[in-house]
Amino acid sequence: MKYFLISLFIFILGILGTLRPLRGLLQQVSFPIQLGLKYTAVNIKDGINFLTHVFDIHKENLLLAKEMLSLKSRILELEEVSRENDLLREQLAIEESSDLDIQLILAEVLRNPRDLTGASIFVNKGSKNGVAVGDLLILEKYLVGKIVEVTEFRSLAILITSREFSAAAVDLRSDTEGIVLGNYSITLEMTRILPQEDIIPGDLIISSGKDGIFLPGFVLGIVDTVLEDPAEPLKSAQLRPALEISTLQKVFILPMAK
Amino acid sequence: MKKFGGLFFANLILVLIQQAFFGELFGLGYTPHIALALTFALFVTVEMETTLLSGLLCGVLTDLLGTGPVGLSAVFCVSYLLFVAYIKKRFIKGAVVNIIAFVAFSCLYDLLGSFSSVTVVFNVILVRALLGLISLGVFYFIIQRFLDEKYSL
Repeated sequence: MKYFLISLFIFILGILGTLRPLRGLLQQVSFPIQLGLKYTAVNIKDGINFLTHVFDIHKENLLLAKEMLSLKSRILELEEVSRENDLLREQLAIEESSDLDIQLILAEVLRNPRDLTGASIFVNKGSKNGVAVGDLLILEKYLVGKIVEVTEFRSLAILITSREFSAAAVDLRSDTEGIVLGNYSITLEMTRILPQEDIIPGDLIISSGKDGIFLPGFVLGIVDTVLEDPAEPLKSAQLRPALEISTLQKVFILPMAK
Repeated sequence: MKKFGGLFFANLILVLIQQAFFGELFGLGYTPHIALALTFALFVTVEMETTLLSGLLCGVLTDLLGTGPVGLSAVFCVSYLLFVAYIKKRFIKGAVVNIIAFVAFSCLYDLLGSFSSVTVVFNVILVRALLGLISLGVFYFIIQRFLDEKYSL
């Protein structure tokens, strides 16, 4: 009974927030150990992965070598275009500006063992680092997820593949609009597409910003299949994330409050 | 104090391994509750006082390293251990009760943890419980060996 009363007392202290400094201290002290353990697991996983796919890797290597040759020639072409573009910009006096003037916060990713679907992660930055609920997780121009819970030194974020995720989206090629939802933590689904709208496999889907939650122009996924049911008034599309989300080690937090 | 220190560090290391190592290695939530497995292995091998202390530390440390309310897991764990102890005392005896109790607790704990989430994946919950059960067996073996050596001296 003594331990039950102690645990109840700790719970009350936890609810009142008295244990917040202790939590912050423990999370800060334990983070280097967690990082070491995480990278040990990543190395073990990579080693196992390499051994099981060694033949595939050889084939892939040959293909990549071919691809690299064609990409090199493409880069040369693009460099020429870029030079031309710079010249035209100078001529038109257009100033280059960054889309994001906000300071990004670099964070390490930790898996969330409480999440059975693998659709949420912890990041090692919290309110002390300026992180707030609603901030976005990004990597280059890819949207990774959204912060949903914040403590002093750690935050919980849902990934774009989470079933709790939804964002207004648009097809980069055809401007077809829809709503992108997380789908069982593996894929994404673009819904509410009008039947006459143009969308095909391979199209890049980006956030449109029309939901007022996500900034426009962030990549969400690539169309895998378009699902058309004659009985349904609207069609949908199955997307695969453009980024390998499950292997992410570092992300940037984009503060939305600012 | 020595017992508290030992259990504190054992639970801390296990919670860290559970979160950072197994979380990354197994992915998709297939992470066994190894800290809980230690508590349930102690339940079979040592006295109730040590088991409850381990359960309390396991719950508090799990909550402190997460983002939810601190102490909720500890209350849940300690009350469950007391409930199982009562069942064992009044109704059924034997280690099999501990095995069933562990699997049930692991599943219940995951189900409660999934309340905030939209998706509850039952096969993942079951796999986690079974992996935890294997860990419990390993811990039981280690503790038994440790106790044998201690008493043979």
